[in-house]
Order: sequence, then C-alpha cells, then structure tokens
Amino acid sequence: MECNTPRSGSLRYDGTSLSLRLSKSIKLTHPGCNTALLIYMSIRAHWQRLVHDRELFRLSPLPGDPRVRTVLMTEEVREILTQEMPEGPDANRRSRLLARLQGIVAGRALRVCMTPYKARKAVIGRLEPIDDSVWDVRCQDPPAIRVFCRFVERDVLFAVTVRPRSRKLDWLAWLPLGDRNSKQWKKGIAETKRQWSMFFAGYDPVKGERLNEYLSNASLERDRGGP
Amino acid sequence: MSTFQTRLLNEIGAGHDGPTIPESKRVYFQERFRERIFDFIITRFLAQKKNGLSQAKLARRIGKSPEVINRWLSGPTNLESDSISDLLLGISAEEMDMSAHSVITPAATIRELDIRPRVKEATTSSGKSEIKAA
Repeated sequence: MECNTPRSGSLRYDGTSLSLRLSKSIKLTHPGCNTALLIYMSIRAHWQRLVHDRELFRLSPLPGDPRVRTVLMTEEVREILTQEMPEGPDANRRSRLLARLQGIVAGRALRVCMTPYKARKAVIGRLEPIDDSVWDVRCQDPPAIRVFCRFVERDVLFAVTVRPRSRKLDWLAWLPLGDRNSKQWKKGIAETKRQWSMFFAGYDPVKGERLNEYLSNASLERDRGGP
Repeated sequence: MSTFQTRLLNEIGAGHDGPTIPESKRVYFQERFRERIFDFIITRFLAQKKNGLSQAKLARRIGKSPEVINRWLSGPTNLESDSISDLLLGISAEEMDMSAHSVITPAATIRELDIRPRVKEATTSSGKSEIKAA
C-alpha cells in the first residue's frame, strides 16, 4: 500500500511495516508490526497549537474587518507592534506597519514580486536565494522597514523579524539592511530560517512558482511594463 | 491587550469635545485608507485586464506616462484624489460612490483587538472575530 499527496508527504505499507514520510526531515517507521503507531500533526494543527500555547501570536484585524488571512508573529514582532511609544515619527512608522500587516489579515488585494530585489511598490517580495523561500513584507514609507517571513501554508504568514531598510531606528534592535548583498540581509534570512527551525521543525515552508500557492487575492507586480 | 489599539479606540471614541487625536493614530487610518483605495482600484484593473486593458493602454487613455501608471498600480501609495478619478475613469469608466462606516465598536468588542491567542480563533477561519462596526 502506498499513498502519495504532493503537500502532505507519502504513506507506505509493504505488508510488514508502515512508514509515513512527512517531509525530507521526518520519517516515522514501525517495522515488523502490522499495527503501526502514527504520529502525525498537520502544519495547520501545529501552528494552531503554537498559538494556543502562546509560543506564537496571531494578529487580529481591526473590528469590522474580515479575517481572511493569518499573520503569525514571533515575540519580537508582537513586542514591536504593542510596545509603548511616544508620539513622533517612530510611532507613525509603527502605525503604518501595523496597518499593513492588518491589511494582509483583512484580505486586501496584494501586489507581490517573486523576483528577488526587483520589487518596486509591491507589498510582499521574495528574497534570494529562492530555494530558502524567505519573503519580506515591505513598508516603504521612509524610514522603510522590512518584515522577514515565510509562508506556513496558503494565506498563513509567519512574521519573524522586523528590520530597518536604510537607516538605524531606535525602536528596532537591528542594523539597517543596506544594499542587497549586505551581511544584514543574509543575517535576516538566516534568522528567519533559524526561527522556522525552532517553531516548525520537520515542516517545510510553502515553496513553488505559482503565486496562487501562497496567497489569495494577490497579483504579480511585473518588473517592467506592469501586468 | 494591545495598548496601541485599546488607546486607539478610546481616543477616537472620545467625541467631538475630546482631545486631539494623536498623529500616530491618524497615520494608522491613513495607511488603511491607502490600502482600501488600492484594493478598490487594482481589483477593477485586474478585472478589465481580462477584457484587454493593459497599463500601456491605460496610460495612453488618461494621458500619463507608463512609468506613472506602473507606480500607481504597484502597491498602496498616497494617491491624489485627481489621480484616483483618472484611474477609475480610464480603467472602467466609473466614478467613486462614497460611503463610510464607524470604526468605533462597543466596549465589549475591544477585546477583539487583543492579539493574544484564542483557541477558537485558531481553529476557525472566520466567525467570532468578524464583528460588524457600529
């Protein structure tokens, strides 16, 4: 017996053993026994448990807005969105960030750039290397900031860390990302992968070339000439 | 409880004689407004794209450069009202109908702003959290 599904992995039974392959990193087998013990949790059940256990935090929309997508936040992102801030440019910047992330939750139309570092005004862009499947939510009003993230499943975004784009900001602990080849970009991507390994060990982020696999109500921002 | 959002509702709900609404709270709604406008326009553009509209055609139709149209349609931005009018006219020969709704909700629903996890929200994609504005 063998069962394959493209997203959840494969289930195989050869008459004496049953094996379940969830991803490249996990393989559960129970040799020599017809009554196999399967330990399986879908990635959806997994992130819901993380939210329930307060290991990750789920961003709520403003009341009255629909909840179409999900933004899961690390403690770092949650702290940035909720910390006390005196009025001023930093508080304004934080307000725009919150509104943008809540716009994602509310299902607003999104422009997305899948070609690394070619985005102009797109809200979400894919970063290099593509195989890492790390993305950033782009808040471009100066001083620009980026939220590094990965897609847990379609319409579920795991927001890991918030970085200033071009200049140091007092309310963010990190150095500016600078140009595309800088160490800070690499560190941001590495941190995103590290946090993924902490919270989603054994699971793969969404990967692929079709935007529809990542997001609903989204369209591509072309590099030249538009759609 | 999200301090920012709790205060947001308190400050906005203070009434006509209340103190000045802080700039950061106004900025929050400005950004939401930009996103709503963008959502409104891009949805129409993508629908008309199926009928043969392109950015180049739109640019020619409303007398703007392709670069300007590309910028306007690439993401939420601070469009002038004249630009919004031009876009709607060029995209779908429409003008905007105005409507508004209150952002102030009954006090009992303020907890909906809480970004702490709630089990039921994690297990359903919609429902409890979808509270209509007053």
